[in-house]
Amino acid sequence: MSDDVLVRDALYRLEPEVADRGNWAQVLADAGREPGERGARRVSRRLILALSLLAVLGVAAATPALGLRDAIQRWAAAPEEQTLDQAADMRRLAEGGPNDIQCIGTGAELTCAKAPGGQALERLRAGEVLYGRHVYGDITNVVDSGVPFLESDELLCTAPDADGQMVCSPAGKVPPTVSPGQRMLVTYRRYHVTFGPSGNTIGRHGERTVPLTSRQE
Amino acid sequence: MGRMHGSQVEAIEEVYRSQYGRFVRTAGAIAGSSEHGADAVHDAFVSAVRRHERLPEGEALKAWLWRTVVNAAKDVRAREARGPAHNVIADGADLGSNGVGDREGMRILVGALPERQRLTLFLRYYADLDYATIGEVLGVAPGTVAATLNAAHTTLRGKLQEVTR
Repeated sequence: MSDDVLVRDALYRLEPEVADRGNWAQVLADAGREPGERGARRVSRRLILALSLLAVLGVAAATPALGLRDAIQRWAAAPEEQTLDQAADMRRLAEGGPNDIQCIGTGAELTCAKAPGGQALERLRAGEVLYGRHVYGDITNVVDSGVPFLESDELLCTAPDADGQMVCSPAGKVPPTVSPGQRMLVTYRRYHVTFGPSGNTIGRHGERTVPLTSRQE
Repeated sequence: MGRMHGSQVEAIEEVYRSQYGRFVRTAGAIAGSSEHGADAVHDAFVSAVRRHERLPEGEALKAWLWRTVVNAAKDVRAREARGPAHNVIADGADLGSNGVGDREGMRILVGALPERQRLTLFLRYYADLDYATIGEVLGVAPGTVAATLNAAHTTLRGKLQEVTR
């Protein structure tokens, strides 16, 4: 892996994506006011930001949702017609579905479903294998940047069916593909967590060796 | 404040709307938190709108805005005196294979870089700016940007290879 990709990947993992679009009206309003008049408005802007960041963290850390394959297929079928709906589709993609999943099977195709009740940490402590939802955002130029890199055991899944079952494929078995204009990718990433003698959690990196590739129309 | 000049304010707005996430991400990395980063971005653009008639146009406007955001974030950081550059990611926000220990190590490593190297990394990877624009923002030649980035890579390389294997 080149230094450029290595450093970019590490930095991307340090700093969360910012989904907030800002508040241009507030900028204009404050530009027309004396500095002393800005206090109350700034508080409200901070609240809005905090809520949106909570939403982003919630999305990135917890709640999974898929339909990825369906969404990709739908966009690939009519990419130009779908442009306006894409942002809404991706939001839906990121907002629904289970936080954590468990899978059965091996190889290129796994059958997965929402992990039954309880906190992920407790279940991991009990020795269970869980995958947590992971959202990549702001994918703009897959070929040039080579990021984000996925872990080889990271899962790409279909949307849950009526029984809550999903079909998932490890990124190392089925190279993940994004369509032109797609800016967000939802995966399930295995929790690689062990516990130290004092009960503290110890995480580790997996094998980040699977690049996204772009679909050529 | 009098009636604002449409086209230049619109140009500033276009940069704001199209790159807001990058501005906040970069400023947050410099200032120590996303909230402070957002404050810095807000302050910088308020300043830009107020003085829009005296600002450059085109690519030079973009570089001016980035420079102003970086300076505002540095001001916020100095004012808040929050310690290490990276305080943004909530503990436990990603329990998975990002590795809490590795991430903390990376934070410390990046925070220990000389300021120019750190800013260059942020502008390259969070802001996604090219070398020429980074050079304009930091007031150095593009060749210096390349050399600075290379130095940062060299410093980080060993540690990153440790945590990714």
